[in-house]
Amino acid sequence: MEGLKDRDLFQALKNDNEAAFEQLFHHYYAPLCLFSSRILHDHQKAEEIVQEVFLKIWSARKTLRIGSSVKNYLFHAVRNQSLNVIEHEKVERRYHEQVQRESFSAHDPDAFFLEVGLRRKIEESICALPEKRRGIFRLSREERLTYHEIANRLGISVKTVETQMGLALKQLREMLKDYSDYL
Amino acid sequence: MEKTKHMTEEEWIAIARDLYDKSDGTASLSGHPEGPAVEIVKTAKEIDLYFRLKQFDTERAFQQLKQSGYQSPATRRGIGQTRPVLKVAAAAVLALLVASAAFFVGTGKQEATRQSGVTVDQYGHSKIQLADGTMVTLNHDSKMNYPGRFDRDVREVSIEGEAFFEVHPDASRPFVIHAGDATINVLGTSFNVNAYPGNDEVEVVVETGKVRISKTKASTAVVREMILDPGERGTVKTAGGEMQKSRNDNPNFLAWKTRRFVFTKTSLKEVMAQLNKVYRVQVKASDPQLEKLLLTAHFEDRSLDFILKVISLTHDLKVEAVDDAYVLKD
Repeated sequence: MEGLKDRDLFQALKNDNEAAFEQLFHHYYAPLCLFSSRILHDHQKAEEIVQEVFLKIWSARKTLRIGSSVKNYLFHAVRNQSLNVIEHEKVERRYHEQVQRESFSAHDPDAFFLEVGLRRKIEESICALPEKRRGIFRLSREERLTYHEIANRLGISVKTVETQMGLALKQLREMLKDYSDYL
Repeated sequence: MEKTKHMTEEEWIAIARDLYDKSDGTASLSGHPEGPAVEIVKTAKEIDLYFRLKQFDTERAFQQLKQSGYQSPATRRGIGQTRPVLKVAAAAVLALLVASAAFFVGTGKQEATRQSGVTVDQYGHSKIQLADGTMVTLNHDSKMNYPGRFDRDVREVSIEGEAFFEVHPDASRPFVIHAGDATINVLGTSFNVNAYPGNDEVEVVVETGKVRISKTKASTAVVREMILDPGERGTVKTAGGEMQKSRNDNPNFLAWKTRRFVFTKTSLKEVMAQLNKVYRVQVKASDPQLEKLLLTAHFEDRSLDFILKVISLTHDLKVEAVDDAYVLKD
């Protein structure tokens, strides 16, 4: 998906092709927002910054020079803009649980991407979980609660949460292993 | 990977616990994973990345970008006027009783108005128990729209004014509260919502559990949301919809319901503001200098007279009462 295709899209963009712009946007938006929010610890501001960067690209498309990698350009632009915001606006650095100490590297843009097919498969797999198990899994992974907090909120035992999370992981791994391992 | 086929349920539970039962929300295995565990961690990270990316609504962001003619978000925010949702809701609830009666929002079904499930506490606040067991205490001049029976996949109410929610846990159905321009999303937790129509913001303070607030109106650049933990306070501005999160530094946010006050070197100005809100009176000082005096005291369900007496004794002041107004003077 990278490299050649991006360059083509960028060329089309220079020729006022909005569909090309849209494709670039769709491919990069969420990963760039995630990247920026790691720097700013603020999802709102991250989204605003990424939108600004894209808008600048659109308005300066005629004269813009991007170099060898569209991906690197975008990540650099977002990184710089994020650091600017910290400098000038003294953004309050609240450590949201969901962005604190992420398990993937801050410096590798590729770590912020999830291949489209895999994303769809993950979505399907989660939906395939039984309702109660799915709810517990979401509370853990989406709302970032500890087992104890989940148990409290749902009025169930920690043991039940442990079991359900284990079974969820097992089920999900089973559904995803063929896709994930051979990507 | 064939290896995982031979893993017992106990082993899965152990790996999951090691990965997921963390207070900081990260997914990582302590120690060195070997064999099948490496692949499992990889999948777990992919799933976590999925949830992280899901937080950002790309489609919506692009649509709004496009609709605004590729205008910068900052410009759009200045231009967009959010129509207060409450004005529309108010018209609908006008016909309904205010005081302590229960009332319904029709869900297409005709149901008789029930009086059961509604009581009044000792301060005149309505306490309503909803169909799922959730308890809601309404402050004065506050209203809640709610159905006699909730939907199967979501529990929705809307409020105007101020209310304290004790939401009954139900994993299968999120509890959604519409308050002004804010949408508050919970599964089971207790928190205070302040959304009086006259105010310029909606405020939520969380006591237990976690609450997600998102902005209802789509007239700003992005759909914003924030998650509040216990002890945190979130606000959504009516105009512009700016959202802010902070640690709640007002220990008296629930005083309207509990009549429990904690003052720690609190200025009389602030003390009087709290008393005015909770007791619905007008306490003021004869001299602005008096407002700077400090008070350190705890009050557990005391009458206004008692509290004023304590203040006057502490600082050697006199209390003059005229109707609902009290004046503290030297």
